[in-house]
Amino acid sequence: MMKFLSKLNRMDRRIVFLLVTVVILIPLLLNIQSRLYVDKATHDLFNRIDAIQPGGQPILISFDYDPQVAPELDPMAVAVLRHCFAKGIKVIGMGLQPQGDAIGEAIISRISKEYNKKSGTDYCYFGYRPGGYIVMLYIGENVKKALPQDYYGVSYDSLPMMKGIHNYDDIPLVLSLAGSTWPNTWIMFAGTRYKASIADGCTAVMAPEYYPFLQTGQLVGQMAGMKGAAEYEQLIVDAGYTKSKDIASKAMSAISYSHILIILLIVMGNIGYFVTRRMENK
Amino acid sequence: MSGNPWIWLAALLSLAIFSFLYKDNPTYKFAEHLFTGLTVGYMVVLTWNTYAIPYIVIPLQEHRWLIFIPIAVGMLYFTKFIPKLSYLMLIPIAISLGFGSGLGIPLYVEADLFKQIQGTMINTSMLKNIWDPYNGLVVGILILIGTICTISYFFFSREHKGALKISASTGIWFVMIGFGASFGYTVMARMSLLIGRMQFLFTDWIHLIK
Amino acid sequence: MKRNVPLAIVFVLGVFFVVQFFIPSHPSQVAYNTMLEWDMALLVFATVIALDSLIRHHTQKIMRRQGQWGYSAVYLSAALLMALAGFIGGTTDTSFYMKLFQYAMSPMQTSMFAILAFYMASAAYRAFRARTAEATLLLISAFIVMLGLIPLGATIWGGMPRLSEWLMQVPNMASKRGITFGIGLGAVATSLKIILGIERNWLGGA
Repeated sequence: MMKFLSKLNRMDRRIVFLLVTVVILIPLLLNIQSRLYVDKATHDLFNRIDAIQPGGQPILISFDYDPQVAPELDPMAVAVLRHCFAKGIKVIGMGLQPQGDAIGEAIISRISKEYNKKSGTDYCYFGYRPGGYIVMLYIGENVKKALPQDYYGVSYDSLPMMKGIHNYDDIPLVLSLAGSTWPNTWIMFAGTRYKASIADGCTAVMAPEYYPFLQTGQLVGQMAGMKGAAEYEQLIVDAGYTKSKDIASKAMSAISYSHILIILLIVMGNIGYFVTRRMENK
Repeated sequence: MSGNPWIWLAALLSLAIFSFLYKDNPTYKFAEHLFTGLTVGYMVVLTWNTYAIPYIVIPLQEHRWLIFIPIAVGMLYFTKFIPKLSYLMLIPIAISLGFGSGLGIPLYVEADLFKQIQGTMINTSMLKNIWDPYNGLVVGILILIGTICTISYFFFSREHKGALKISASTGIWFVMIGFGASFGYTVMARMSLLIGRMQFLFTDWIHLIK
Repeated sequence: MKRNVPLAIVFVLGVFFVVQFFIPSHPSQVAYNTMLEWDMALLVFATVIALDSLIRHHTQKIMRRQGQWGYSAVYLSAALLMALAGFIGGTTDTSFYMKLFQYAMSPMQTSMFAILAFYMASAAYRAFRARTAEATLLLISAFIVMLGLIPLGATIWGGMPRLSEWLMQVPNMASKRGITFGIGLGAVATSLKIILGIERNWLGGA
């Protein structure tokens, strides 16, 4: 028995790879879904967006991410856009990451078609804006200077939705969907200097770093990783804005079993290690 | 299976990258260099369309001649190719560095220091419900102790002896909880990315997942 | 002279824009807006220099037939293909440029990050050992958070999600705040060192 336990930490890594593949694939094939406990941070973000007047001031969604983190952040973008379009909230889309340019456009144009929303009147997508914090500072001074024309080449003055939008005072919420530290930059340059309300949708890796900012109110809400996206999907279904959950909710079952696998692997590794050490000490 | 050749291209390139799991191989290396080359080409086009045209070409077309100042300064970058004059390349670097550093100081101080100090302070609202697990007085004191002890753990200008040793030792406990929480979220993050790839391969390419 | 002029520029601009933050007057705003625009124009030239370095490195490798030069040829061909696709075919949704981005670049980029999941599982299995009390605390905290994030965690114990949320909002937040202070102080110190000319690594060999 001791000999068997001592071998628990010597499994070939290809078997570990195979186990990971199996625990992810099977739940996806079986399409298991369950209800989630929704975090306060996600609730706060949902409530903040829900409080915006339909047809009034727009929210700004910044697609500050690259394709490598799209599996976590695309579902967030889709869920928030569905919420906004279903409620009639206008949306300004842009991005600070070069490769987020095409990602943002693909998502906004797909979701807008579902709700029959028109570019220029219900939403405006400006694509990638180079310069990072410089763009944030420009928006604080004069939005037209930061976003002179939209992704499709239409000039700012020809976009009916942008009339009356001058700076952050006319934008009730900035939502940064980011795979890196862009929310920190938004907090520093837009939140601190211009008192803009900032929320973020971040990868799960970055989520723990933003809790100090949630506590001080520098971030008004947050979606953390794929779970955050699944929580938001659940909230918009519960509120009646959509009928069914989407990709993130379907993926949560695979995440559940993968977490259990990781915990079991760590426990097995530790049992094997301590038993081996005990046998060596004897 | 999908009949779209572009989906097949995406799937085969994904599998080429995944082949690294077995071992480093020519297929993976080919895909890796293909990816980095495509990225460079993508950035060239993007830089032209989103930097050069709105901030150089359009001002010139609109006869805003002051733009010649940053153009002249930017051209100093090319002195890199003239060894005797290559020191002039430091001027545009100095401008960007000075501007960025000066701009950042007040913002770092307010966002990362003042606001965080404000958030750590015990305030009167905490007295209303002392035992509230999120906003109560007990939790407020715990956060205060945790923050100060964590900072003291990373203070290396003095040897960790006496009171500093006690606070640093307490700080490490909080740091370990923080790192454990970060690891938990990192697991979810990495698995999410793999699930995304699996969803593509088994939904869009091989129509196995509905 | 070669070093003093750039150092003086950094000092003057650095101090100016620290002070400018506190001066809301019109001339101050004009200076600030102008500098913002000019900084964007400078970025174009910096990108050209970066591009030159990359092309030069790989071209030399091909010309000298250095080790694995074939991959450098793949690299340069791909860069040229993508650039030509963008400049000639445009960058609209249906363009060849966008198709290459969506079906070649993006899948490879996502896959590179996806394989991290396998290596993370393998590393956790091989390296995570509860050798000390601190390491044990780290593992317990990780287990609580991992179980709290998933529906199965609530099935195991109903209070798991709330415990996980409390762990994130209180002890984790305290430690991350301490680290944020350190980062903020470090950033301010580095910026001051650059402005005052104490930090001179960016001058290189000049």
